[in-house]
Amino acid sequence: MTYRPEFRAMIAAHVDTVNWLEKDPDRRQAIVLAQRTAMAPPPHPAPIPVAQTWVEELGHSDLVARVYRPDVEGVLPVLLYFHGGGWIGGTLDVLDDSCRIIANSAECVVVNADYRLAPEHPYPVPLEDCMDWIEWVDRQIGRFGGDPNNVAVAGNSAGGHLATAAVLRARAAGRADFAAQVLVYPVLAASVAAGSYRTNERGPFLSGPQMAFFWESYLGRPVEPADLANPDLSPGTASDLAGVPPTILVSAENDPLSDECDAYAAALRKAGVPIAARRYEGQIHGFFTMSRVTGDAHHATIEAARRLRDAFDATGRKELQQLWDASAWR
Amino acid sequence: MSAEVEIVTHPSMRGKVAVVTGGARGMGAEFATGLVAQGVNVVIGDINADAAAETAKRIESEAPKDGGRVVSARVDVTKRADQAALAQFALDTYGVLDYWVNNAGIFPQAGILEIDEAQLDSTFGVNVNGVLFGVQAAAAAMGDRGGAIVNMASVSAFRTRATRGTYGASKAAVDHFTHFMAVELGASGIRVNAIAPGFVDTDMLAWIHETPGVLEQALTTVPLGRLGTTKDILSVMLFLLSDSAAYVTGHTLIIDGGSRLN
Repeated sequence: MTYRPEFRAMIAAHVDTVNWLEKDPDRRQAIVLAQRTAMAPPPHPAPIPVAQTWVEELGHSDLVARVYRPDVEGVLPVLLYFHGGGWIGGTLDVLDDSCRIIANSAECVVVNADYRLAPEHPYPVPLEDCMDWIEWVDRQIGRFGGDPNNVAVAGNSAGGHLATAAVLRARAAGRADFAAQVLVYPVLAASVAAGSYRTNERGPFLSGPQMAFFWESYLGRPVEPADLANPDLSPGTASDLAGVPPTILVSAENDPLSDECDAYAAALRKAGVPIAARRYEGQIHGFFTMSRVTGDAHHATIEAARRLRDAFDATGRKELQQLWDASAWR
Repeated sequence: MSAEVEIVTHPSMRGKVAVVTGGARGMGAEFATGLVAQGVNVVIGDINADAAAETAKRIESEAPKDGGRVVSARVDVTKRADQAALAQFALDTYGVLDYWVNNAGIFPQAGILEIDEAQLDSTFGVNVNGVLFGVQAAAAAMGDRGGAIVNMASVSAFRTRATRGTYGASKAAVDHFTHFMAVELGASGIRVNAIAPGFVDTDMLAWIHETPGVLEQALTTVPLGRLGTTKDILSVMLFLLSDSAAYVTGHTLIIDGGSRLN
């Protein structure tokens, strides 16, 4: 396993002192609170300019979304974004830069939407909040000059999991197809048995046992083999992938989730779903939002946004795949 | 003869976004190529749209595997609205703007008694107004988020040779303007510096090769004994844009092999 040079000093200094196997509820809650603090973004430079922003309420449970609109006239396609944080943490701030870049370069309205967090609100609450945001977009996005018939979803890590699962749920409920899904090292399978969990057992940044802790916090229990057959929990292992929207997938080499990302990319390819996948060598889980540390953060954002724009403009799935294949993801 | 310049990798530049004006040819094309090699996503702006597109295509095809992207757009740097549109094009393409290189420039020659309105207007229009409008466009697109700008001055701002009055005065204006830009944009985290090349072997210096003896004569004034290369300038431009120069602003770095001293 190799790491990008910008992480070497941090990795050398890294010692994981958290007991991820802790069973005592009070001490587990203390870990959750410490994780939320650890996931807070570093002091932020001023925001990347976009033409307009709004803060919008979902209408229940105090949840809000930030809506960003680029300096482009007319009705624009829409991206609905769910942040990561192991279902237990993360905020809209962490994704603020990424959403602004995507709004500008994919020329779309971006909705950076919050959801309630486990363990206080375990499955299915976070997923249901995401479904509510999809409905909100379908009904409300016209007010912001967004096109409800050209909507993509996105998320990183647990947010990528929620996006993928929400798309499957919406499809099952008969919603019209999404234009694309943009998944950044998503959680795709409710299992902690993959080989990449072993090779990243001690982290850093995301370790196998830490991911197991997140799963247990989300479900209120450890994962079980039957969870692999539940598309809400294992959206990447669904038996029928043919109706999955065109997928832009970013993954990291050194990540417990890299195996499930690779498997999903292969399965989508096999099912004929347009896919643009890039595994960032030397990268770690979480790099997408570490723009102060690694240049690959904005690199991946810009490259993903480019392909999202292709998907919004696409006239057919075959043409989209050809377009994606013709352009190297550097 | 001095050693060849060494281009170092600046890890902080990877994934950033840069605009280079006058990037279709010469030094600007070298800048764009060098930025792409650092993993920077580049917009080449040039008044010659076809040449810019061709250069972008060439750079893209020759770029290393982990290099940045490059696109092109037409810009008349003497037009404030054109430069604002160029900055917006960078945002539309890449989502963010981090660096801006005010490279476009012209090099007229005329004796003091011969300088006419047309020469003054065109030279100051490109070399001075163009730099100011570029800084205005860049700063608006960077907002309060910070960034780095490099303006092209010239050693002609600091040394005096007959027939270079218009050019030297325009580049002296760039040098001085850079101080004000640095002062006023510092609070937004935007650094503004300038570079002042001496004799650099580009199309703009073709005249030096045209008459026998001119090159030799010119070199007698260069302590390091050779013409500069575009890479000599690129190296310093990358330094000034990168976080290696995080505390450097309002500075004009002369890259002339020492020629200003003779």
